[in-house]
Amino acid sequence: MQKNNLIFIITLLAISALAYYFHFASEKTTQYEIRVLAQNKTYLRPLSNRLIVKGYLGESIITWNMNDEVRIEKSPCPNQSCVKMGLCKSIPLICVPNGIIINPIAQKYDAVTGQ
Amino acid sequence: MKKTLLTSLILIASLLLYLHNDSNKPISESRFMMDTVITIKAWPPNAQNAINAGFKVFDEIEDALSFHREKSKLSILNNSFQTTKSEHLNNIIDLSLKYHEITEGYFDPSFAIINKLYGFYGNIPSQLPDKDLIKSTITQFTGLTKVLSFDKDNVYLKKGAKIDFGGIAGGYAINLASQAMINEGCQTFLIDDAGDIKVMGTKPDESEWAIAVLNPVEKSFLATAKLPSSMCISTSGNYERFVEINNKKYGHIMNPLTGFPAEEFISVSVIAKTPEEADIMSTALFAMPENLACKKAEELSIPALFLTADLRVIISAKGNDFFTRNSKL
Repeated sequence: MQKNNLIFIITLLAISALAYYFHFASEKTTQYEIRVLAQNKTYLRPLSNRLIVKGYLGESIITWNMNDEVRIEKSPCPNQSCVKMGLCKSIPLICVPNGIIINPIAQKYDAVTGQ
Repeated sequence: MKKTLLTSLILIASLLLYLHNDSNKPISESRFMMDTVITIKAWPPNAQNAINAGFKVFDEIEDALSFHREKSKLSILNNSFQTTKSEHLNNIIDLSLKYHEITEGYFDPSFAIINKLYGFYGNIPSQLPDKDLIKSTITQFTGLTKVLSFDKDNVYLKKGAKIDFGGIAGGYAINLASQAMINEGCQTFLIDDAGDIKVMGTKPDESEWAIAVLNPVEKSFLATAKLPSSMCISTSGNYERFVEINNKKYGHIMNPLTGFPAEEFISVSVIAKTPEEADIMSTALFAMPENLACKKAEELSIPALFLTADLRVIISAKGNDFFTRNSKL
C-alpha cells in the first residue's frame, strides 16, 4: 500500500470517529424540551436556566439548578400540583391545567406511565 | 492518488449525510384533550397524517363520551336519563358490562355518583360525606347492571344515577386511534394518553419499546416495562386526581363495596393486549383490597406491578415477563 493511501485511510477513519463521537455524544447531554400546548411550541432549556412561558391560564416560571434539576417555580394553575412536585431530573414534569410538559430528552425510555 | 482522494471525500460525505439523515426520525405531538395531555409519536411513512388521524379519533370520542361536554351522548344520558343508542356508546357500554362482571363489580362507571358526593365534579364539601348517605347512595344508584337498561333504540339510566366512562374512554380512544393510524399507512407509533400507552411496530434502530413506571413517592422510576409491538400499559393511582377535605387527600378511585376511596395502593400498572383492558384492569385492581387484587392478577394471568401504600413493590407472576425493577430500590 502506498504511503499516501495509508494517510488518506487513517484520515478517513479519524474523521469518521470524530463524527460518530459528536453525533452520539450530543444525544447523551442532559437536555430538556418544554412543550407549551397553548402556543403549540416547543422550547429547549435556555442558557439562563430560567424560562417564562405563557400557557392556557397564564405564565409559568421554570427554573433549573446546578445539578440539572428542573422545577416549576410558579404556576397559575389552581391546585399547584406541578409546583408541589419540586425538583425533578429524569422524570417528566407536567402541568395539565396550564398545558406545560417538561421532558428530559435523550432518555432511555420511550414514555413514562403514571397516573 | 486523485482517485483515492475522491473516493475518500465521497465516503466522508456519505457518512455525514447518513448522520444528519432525518428521514427515520419520529414526529411527536401533544394536545390537551379528554381532560388531559395526549401525546402521539410516529415514525415515517405518513407520520404527520397518521398523527392527525389519531387526534381526530380522540376528538370524536370526547364528543361522544365526555362527562363534561354538555352535548355528548353520555351527558344527555346523565342529564335526561335516556338517550338513543350510538356506535361508541354501545361499544363502551358492552365493554363496561363485560369487565364489570370480570372484576366482580370493582370496575363500575356508575360510581360517578359517589365521586360527586366527594366533590370530584366541583363543590368540594367542607366535611366528608355522611356514611349513611354513602351507603344508601350505593344501594340505590350504583351497580352498572342495576342502573342501565335498554330497548331496541335507546339506553336508559336509573333516575338519580350517574355514569362516568373516565376509566375506559382513554383506552377505547387509543384502540380506535391506533386503527386510524394504521389505516393511514403508519406502522410504527406510540400513543400516550396520560400514562395509558400503546406501542406499535418496530423502531428503526430495532430497540425494544421501554416504558418507565413512575414512582411518585421518590420522583424516580420504579421499574421498566419492555413491551412487544401492539401491547399496552396503563397505570392507575390516586396521587394526581384527588380532593382535599379537612387537609386530607382523598383519591378518585373508590372501593365500590365501601364507597370510600381505595387506599391500599399508591399505583397499579397493568400490561395487556388491548388498551381498554389495561385501562380497566389497572383501575379495578387499584380499587380492590391487596389480597384480592394479587389473587385476581394471578387468576387472570395479568402482568401487573403494584406499589402498595407502605411502599412494597409486588409483581405478578406474569408481570415478571415484562417488568424489571429499578435496581436502586
